[in-house]
Amino acid sequence: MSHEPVLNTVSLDEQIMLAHENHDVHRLSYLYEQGALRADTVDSACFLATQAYIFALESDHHNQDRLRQFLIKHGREQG
Amino acid sequence: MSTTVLDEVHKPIETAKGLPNAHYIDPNTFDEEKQALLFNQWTGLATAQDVPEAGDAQPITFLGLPLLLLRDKTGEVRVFQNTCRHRGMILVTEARKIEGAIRCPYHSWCYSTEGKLVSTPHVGGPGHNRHKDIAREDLSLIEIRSHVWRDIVWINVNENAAPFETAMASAMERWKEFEAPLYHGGAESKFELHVNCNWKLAVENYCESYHLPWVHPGLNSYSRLEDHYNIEKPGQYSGQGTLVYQQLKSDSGERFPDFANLSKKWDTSAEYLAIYPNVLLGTHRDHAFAIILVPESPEKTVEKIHLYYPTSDTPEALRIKNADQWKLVFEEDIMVVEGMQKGRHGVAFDGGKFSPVMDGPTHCFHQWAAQQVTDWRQTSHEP
Repeated sequence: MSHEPVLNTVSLDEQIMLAHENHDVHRLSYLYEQGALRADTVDSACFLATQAYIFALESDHHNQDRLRQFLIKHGREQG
Repeated sequence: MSTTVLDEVHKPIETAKGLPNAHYIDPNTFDEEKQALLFNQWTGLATAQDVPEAGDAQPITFLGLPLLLLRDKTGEVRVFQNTCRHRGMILVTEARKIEGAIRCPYHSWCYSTEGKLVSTPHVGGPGHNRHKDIAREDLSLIEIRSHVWRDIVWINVNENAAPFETAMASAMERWKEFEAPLYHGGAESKFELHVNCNWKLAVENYCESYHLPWVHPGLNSYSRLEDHYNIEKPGQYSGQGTLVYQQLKSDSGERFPDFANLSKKWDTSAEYLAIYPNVLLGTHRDHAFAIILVPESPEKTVEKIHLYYPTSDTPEALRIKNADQWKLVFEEDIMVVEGMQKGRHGVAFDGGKFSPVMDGPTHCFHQWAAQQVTDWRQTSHEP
């Protein structure tokens, strides 16, 4: 998955809220993907990967194919 | 609602009367005409240059219908109903570039620029984006039938008009010499006029030359009334032509280039067609224009005006001069269309008496309108 920097001094939740406030769809996709990577259950990971995938679709983010494949692999998206 | 009586409108011009007052001032008749004269026809909505690049999207409310004008990723101009298939949410609220997919701002269902439903997040529960009862292939955006000709995006909302090339065959044939790329003149070649009149009065005034010496006295010096001719194609369009068109020149004698390969006729001729219902077109050897009439209510219309040239590199100063000249002419017409609108509140006005010689194009339009309304009523839509 992607390696765009995440500031350690600010929690991921706070960064996501800030990106929502700024309507920064590209960054939302990245941040939700980071959340999916840190999730401790498949369900939680798929929820967050879905969020990341939708914002990737909207912003034409390069991670959309990877996220889609992740969701397909877990039976959460149409193949 | 009582329906208007149109028998007098159907008569030959010598004995006919014009459309009754209700067709200009009555909200119920306006709604009837919305279906019969606008949604049933190929109607001008916008211009393709409003969405010049792939992904450009512009929401347009047309006669209350929320539409989305969009240039898809392949470059094709499309018109969709601007409504999500899930909960009916408006999808796009301001003109913008669609980078990837169109995401509904409510539950984030996503559509491609071709209108296909591409994702339905959490539709089967959190993190589950599919469900056996959600068939995405059946839930594409509702696409409105559309066609681009002379940069105008024409739509047929009720999907019952003949194919565009059939419906417009006569006009296309008439102006086939001008079937060449049109280059929009840019920001200074685009303007709007907001007029307090029914949209049909703008059509009626545009398609006849009878008023020219009185309303546009500046034209008398070179374009006299006797230099004009009527154009009538019943059921499709009407208008006027001039035999003495003179090219605009800059102070240094510079002119616009001509469209390529025109016949000699067009050296001094120009024509102005009202394509029914709501598109007014003009063409000359060196430029063209289009006016889209947007009916906002029975007594309010927006005229959206665009000027075009045969090449992309015409002189800016001359384009501005040309736009100013046309704007003056179109503004001179406001007094009469708004005056006729006020006159239509005269309860004893009977629709008006036509000049059998000079009012042919207007009568042609009235007959078309009366026939479309009559047909609409006869297809069991009469209340």
